[in-house]
Amino acid sequence: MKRKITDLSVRFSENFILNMIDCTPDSPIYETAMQELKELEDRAYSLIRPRAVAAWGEIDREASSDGIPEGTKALFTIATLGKEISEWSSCLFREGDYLGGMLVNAMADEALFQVDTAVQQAVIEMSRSMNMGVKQRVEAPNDIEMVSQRLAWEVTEAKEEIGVGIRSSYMLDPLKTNCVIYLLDRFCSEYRTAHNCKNCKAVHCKRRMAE
Amino acid sequence: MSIIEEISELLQNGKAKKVKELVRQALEEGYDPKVILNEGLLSGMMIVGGKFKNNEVFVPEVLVSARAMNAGLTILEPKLVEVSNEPIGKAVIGTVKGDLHDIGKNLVVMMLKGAGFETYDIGVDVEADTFIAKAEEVGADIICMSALLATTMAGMQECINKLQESNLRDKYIVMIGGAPVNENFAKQIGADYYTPDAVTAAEVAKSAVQGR
Repeated sequence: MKRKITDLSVRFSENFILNMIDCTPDSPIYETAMQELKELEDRAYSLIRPRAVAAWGEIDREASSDGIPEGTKALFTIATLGKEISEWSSCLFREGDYLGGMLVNAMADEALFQVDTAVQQAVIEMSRSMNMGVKQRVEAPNDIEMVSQRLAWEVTEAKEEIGVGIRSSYMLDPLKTNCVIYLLDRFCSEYRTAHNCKNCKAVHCKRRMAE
Repeated sequence: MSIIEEISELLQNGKAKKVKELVRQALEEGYDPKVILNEGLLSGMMIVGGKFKNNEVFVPEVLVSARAMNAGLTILEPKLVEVSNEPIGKAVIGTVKGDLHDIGKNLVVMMLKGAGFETYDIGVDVEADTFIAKAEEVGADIICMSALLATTMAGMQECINKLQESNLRDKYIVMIGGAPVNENFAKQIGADYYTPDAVTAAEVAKSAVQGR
């Protein structure tokens, strides 16, 4: 079973984006940053092309570990914003518009979080249709080996479906792409699709909801 | 307050247009371009860097200050060429092979420029040989490598190995950074410095080239 998800839309939360770059309302440049963010938004919306693919498969030997044995049933998902938004951020940096570059990068991160949330809904629908629950959400490299991204890329046929490539380091290309694997279980009646901040090493993440 | 001090202060407040205007005015008034650069722009950036380290300002303030510096430099650079101003050093910087992350690298480029370096940003997904070839081509002092993934950190080791094989290791200061990198890893692979953030990277780079 495979599903391509293209009906994805994003809506920026300006305050949250500014907060992501440590620009809080008491910052002397808050108003400037907010104004620039508003000026950048339209183009950012036009450059973000969210799409995702989810496919059913099994954890193979290379991606397996003590906690995630070979043969574990899983839904592999890959979501991307496309390459244009990152290229624009890099371009702004090269031109010396460092604030603009950082804002565009934060907008892309915010968009990718929103896409991730939308994909979780599709995962719930797919697993429900297979009469399975989601026992765990895993992401490389925190919870599972990086090689699992290659497995996800192969299982989802992400190159053909949504134009995502992969490097020898198992990094997905474009940059603003994420891969999440949902471990399924016939005896699990829940859908544990949410990201687990406790296991995540991104301790400075503004979305972090754990000590 | 002198016009040079004013440039420094406006830069610290991120006033790009005004910095540009005052740099132009200072040149018209006959100020030495090197004085405008060192005592106006770079001095302003150094103060901002210090405030960042002391948690008095945060990344966005540094970004707008750096943008103001860049605005001033667009006016100043042609004049600096005329007076043959030498940069404090030359740095080649990129993200290693297999890694497409560039925000951290971009911030280091920004701060190196703010410290007076001539920077050569060779982008992301850079082969070890490309770092070396670029450093040789431009006569760099420093090679800076960034990696955001544990699976790509090995690219840093590869570059250092290739420098050694080519008897070029002592010619360059090698600096590394990125989320999975730390001091121990730097020692393990024989890098000269690991720095945890862009401001520290620029400070360390400056003291390293001055100490040569």
